[in-house]
Amino acid sequence: VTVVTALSVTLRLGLAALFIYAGVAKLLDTQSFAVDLANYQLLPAALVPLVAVTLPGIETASGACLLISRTARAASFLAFLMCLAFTVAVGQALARGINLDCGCFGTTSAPVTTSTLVRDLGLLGAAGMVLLALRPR
Amino acid sequence: VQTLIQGTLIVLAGSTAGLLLNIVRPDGISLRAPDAGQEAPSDEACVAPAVQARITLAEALELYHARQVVFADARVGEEYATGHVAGAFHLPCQPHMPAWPARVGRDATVVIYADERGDADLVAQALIAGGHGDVRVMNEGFAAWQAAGGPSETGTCEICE
Repeated sequence: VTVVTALSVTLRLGLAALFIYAGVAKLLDTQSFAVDLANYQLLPAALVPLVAVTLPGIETASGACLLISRTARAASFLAFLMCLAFTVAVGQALARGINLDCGCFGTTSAPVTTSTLVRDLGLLGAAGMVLLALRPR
Repeated sequence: VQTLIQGTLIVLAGSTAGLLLNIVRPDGISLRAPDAGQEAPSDEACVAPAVQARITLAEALELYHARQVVFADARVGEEYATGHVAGAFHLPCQPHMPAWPARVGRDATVVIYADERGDADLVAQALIAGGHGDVRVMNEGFAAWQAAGGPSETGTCEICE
């Protein structure tokens, strides 16, 4: 049980750091993130600026709340949902052959490739495990 | 239930913080959707959705040497004059962009580059809006092109009209 606890705490802290980093990096360059987001061709154009402004804030807040035991479960649920959305976004872009910057970490972005998808799936799994480990008993 | 309430609060707090930050910061983006069918996008339109392919420096060099593409420089005049991709047109990123040279057809594959990523994106959007089919943006700037040994030249654009 202790091994599982240690693993879930490690995953939780790692996810927290990653979400805070990704959120802050996007907040620093909203314009680029808006362009990247639009390039995914997933959201209606009217929603792109709103999501580009709010999503990084939600990422940062979720990352911060993952650090606090009281709010960790809710935050891990949000992290899971966001990872799911990112995975779908990257997957559909790859499937449709859209060549784009992933916009995952602000200006230090890289093109979307299969490894982006693998990474997102890994994060999705990590968030899922944290969520399961934090279920109320 | 408590988890749901907390989750909603996190979403609300995060999005409110994001919105406030966007309002406070000088380079915040407009939340209004870009107007459909606009002619030449202004600077604000840098956030407008665009369908454009990004290519790497290596891919750009390959296309260049295969003589399959037309290059366009989206930087300002002084930068273009100081050095640009050999044979590149000058299409600076500004509210009223110069007309696309008539001698190059709209079917040509165009590679746009600039030092600022947003500039190349904006010019690419304008070209797409103008009916160009195949517009690509080079990820790297001119300095990287030169460093990689890409052919370059100096002076003003003589092929532009």
